[in-house]
Amino acid sequence: MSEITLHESKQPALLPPKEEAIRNDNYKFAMWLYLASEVVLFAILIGGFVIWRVQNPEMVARMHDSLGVGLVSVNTFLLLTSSWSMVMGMREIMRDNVAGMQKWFAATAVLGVIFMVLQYVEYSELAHLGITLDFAGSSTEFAGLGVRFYSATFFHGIHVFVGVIWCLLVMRRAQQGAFSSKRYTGVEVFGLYWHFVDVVWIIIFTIFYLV
Amino acid sequence: MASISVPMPGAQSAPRPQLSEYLRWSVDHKIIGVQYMVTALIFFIIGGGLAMLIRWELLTPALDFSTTGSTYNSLFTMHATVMIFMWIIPFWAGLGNYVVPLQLGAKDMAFPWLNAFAFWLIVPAGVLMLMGYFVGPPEAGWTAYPPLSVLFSGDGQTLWIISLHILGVSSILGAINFIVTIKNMRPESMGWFQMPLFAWAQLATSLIQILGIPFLAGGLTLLLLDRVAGTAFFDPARGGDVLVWQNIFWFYSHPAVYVMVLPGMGVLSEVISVHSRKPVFGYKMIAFSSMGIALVGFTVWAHHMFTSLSPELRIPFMITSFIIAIPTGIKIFSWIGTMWGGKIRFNSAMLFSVGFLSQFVIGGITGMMLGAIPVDIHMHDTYFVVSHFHFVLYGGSVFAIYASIYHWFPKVTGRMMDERLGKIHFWVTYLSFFFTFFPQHLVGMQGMPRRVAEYAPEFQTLNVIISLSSFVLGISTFIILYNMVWAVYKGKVAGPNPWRALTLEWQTSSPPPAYNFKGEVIPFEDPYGYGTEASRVYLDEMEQRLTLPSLLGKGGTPPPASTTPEPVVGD
Amino acid sequence: MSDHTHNHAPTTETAHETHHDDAHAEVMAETTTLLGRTLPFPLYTVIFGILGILTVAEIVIAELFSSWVKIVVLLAFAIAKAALVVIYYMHLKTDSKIFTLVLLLPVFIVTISLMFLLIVPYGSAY
Repeated sequence: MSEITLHESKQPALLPPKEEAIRNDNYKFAMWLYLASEVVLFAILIGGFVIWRVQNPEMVARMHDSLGVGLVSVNTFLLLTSSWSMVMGMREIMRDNVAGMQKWFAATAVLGVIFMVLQYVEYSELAHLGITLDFAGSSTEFAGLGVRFYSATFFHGIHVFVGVIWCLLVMRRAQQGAFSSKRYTGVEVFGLYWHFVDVVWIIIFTIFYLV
Repeated sequence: MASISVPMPGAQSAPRPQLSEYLRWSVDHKIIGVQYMVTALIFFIIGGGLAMLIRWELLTPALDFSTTGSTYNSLFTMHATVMIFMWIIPFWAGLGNYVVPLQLGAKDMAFPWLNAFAFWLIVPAGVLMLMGYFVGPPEAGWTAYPPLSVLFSGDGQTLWIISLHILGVSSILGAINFIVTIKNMRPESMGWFQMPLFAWAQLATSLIQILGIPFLAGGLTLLLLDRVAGTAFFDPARGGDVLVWQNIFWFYSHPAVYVMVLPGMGVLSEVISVHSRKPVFGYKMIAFSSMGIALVGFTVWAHHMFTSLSPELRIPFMITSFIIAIPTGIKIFSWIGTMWGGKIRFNSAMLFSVGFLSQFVIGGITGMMLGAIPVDIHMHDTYFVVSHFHFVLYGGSVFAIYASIYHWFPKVTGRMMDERLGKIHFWVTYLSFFFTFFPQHLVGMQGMPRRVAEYAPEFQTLNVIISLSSFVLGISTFIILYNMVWAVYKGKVAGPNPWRALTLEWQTSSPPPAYNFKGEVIPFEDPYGYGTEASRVYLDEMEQRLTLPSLLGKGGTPPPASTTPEPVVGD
Repeated sequence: MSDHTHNHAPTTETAHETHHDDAHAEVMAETTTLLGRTLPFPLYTVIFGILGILTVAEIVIAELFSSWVKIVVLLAFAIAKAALVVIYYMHLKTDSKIFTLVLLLPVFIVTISLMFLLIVPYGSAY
């Protein structure tokens, strides 16, 4: 029909700066989606403990009494502080201060390492009490506690380990000049991961050690 | 009236990729898509071979070639696992990989490297799984219920768990990639509701995978600990609980059945609309029902466990199971509404779509029967259940896969498949499928249990019918495989838009060039606006610009030029 | 302010730009306004302080009290802390709302499943 008119477009495909913006947003979106699946995974492991704990409150109380709350409180503060140093580092890169970011991130990595060391100390204490991963090796007063405790906390520990490695990689890339106030998505995506690990610990700390 | 922008692509003869490109690491979504689909087809043949062995064993009531029940157990375990995790799910990932970026007018997926990585995880996972069969096969069925999977299964079960872990990681990475691609890579003029329905289906599927697979991963981790680290998560004798596994497993696996069928529903929306030459009836309803299925799918899992739950816990799951039939019914209604009064071309893709509709309705209705508590308690673990899920997985997913192959093969290879062979394939598959799986309803209702190698002699007549039909069904697969291989070398040259479709993947040459599109991509305002004057002018104009230069000098016959009646291509 | 803050979505592009600039200023400022008072610390440090105080409070409550009220209070504290980290440190407050949706969806689904597993009386109801 004559009312329909056709016209061609002569514009080129995606423009370069816009594409860069899409990429930046892509990385953060992908990280959030990944974290969504991590939420589910941790919920299974934490939920496994919670369901069992409702049935065996005395056993958990015994563990709390023997373990005390000192060590784990220190650990909690380590992770909280590392989260803080992480955002402060990001704040530095947002004002183009690479050296400042390096300092804060070094603190983050060191705090993460200390966290892992203290978790090792805590695991040795627990093993000493007779709380082990396998059922047969566990002492009868803590039968079945070990697997539910270790599966969640150790899985979190692995995440801290991965986070420390990632932190070092980010620092190396910053050294090479990969980040600036215009370009710090790489830092931000790592930040999302690290804070998520912190959030998981906040939940684990309350549910496994305090309640 | 309407004003239409026509894309202006450059030269139209993009060469097909070399065969060697498919055998190595590539970040091109088109290569990866084909890699996925071909790998899945290989596993389809393996899984089909196992099914043939199962049916051979069941020809007679006694044990035939399997010396013990264990041999038979490992057969059906491997059959189910291969078919579900290595054929249907990877095939949809592959098709989505190929088609979704094209439909969205994107150059590639959002994360090309991640995409390739996700595919290459499938290969070691498949090898591990098949290795498991030889080191001491898993025997606990694809559901891997403890204590069977912990106490009575060989070392292959451990490899099975690791293999599924790897496949899960692959699926999650793929799903993240799909969601980011679909949200961020569309052209500016394409809003959420101008998106092709196949992309909507992939979006819903990916959401299910991201939220569901971690459940399976968590459960598998605990199962692995029970097997190798001496823990007692699922051992009631030592304070564990077997039903925790069932809950976790079905919490993933019920949504997973929608992972297998939702992309098929997306394919159907495309194929039926294109080949009926009519707009999709109820576009938004189809899009929303996909999301509805994805979300409600998370609330129905315990209907797989009716026989193990206490009565008052069953009822909510019966209700949600009935609710989830509503979005599915909406889709079926919409497809029929789309076909109604259309200029239907009954080519192979359309035939398989209509085949899907008829078989899937049967599978859906038996699903409702099994969702009702009293019927389920009666039918639980009989062949009725086997029949139900083969109707939805074979009659549903696999028929949709066939439809998608016939529909998009010209785009992927630039050649048309043979329509006559396609129709033969359809009728042989359709009839042998029906006579394979429909009688299973009957033996099931008479009480033949599933997962047994020896059965009561009175079931033999029906079982012989089932087995013979299944052998025909197995052979029918080779018709499409032959057709594909033939078409790659001898098929008629397809041209960019053999079906006169409006979605974006048909706006570029077949196969598409590197980075898919030359020049800016402008979607037609309604991706399914067939039959309107605007779409006819648009398609004619596009055909003139796209087809003619490339076909001259290549020896192929150009498709009939724009005549007023819709050309029935390849018929 | 910078290229990376542009949202690709055409309809909201301009809105996002200004929005992000506000957020940027909030993060970069050397002082923070909390409950009408101006504190001489950046926003991130103030959040860290609140997190620390909440944690100390949690430990004290856990050590001093023991009843079901304690459990509820502690869980509320934990959720509040997690929310603070997510909203401020992970920038949910200023980022695309779709990220919030992506976070809430799994939380919702997980809650359904865990609630179900919790209400099943142990060892008796199956």
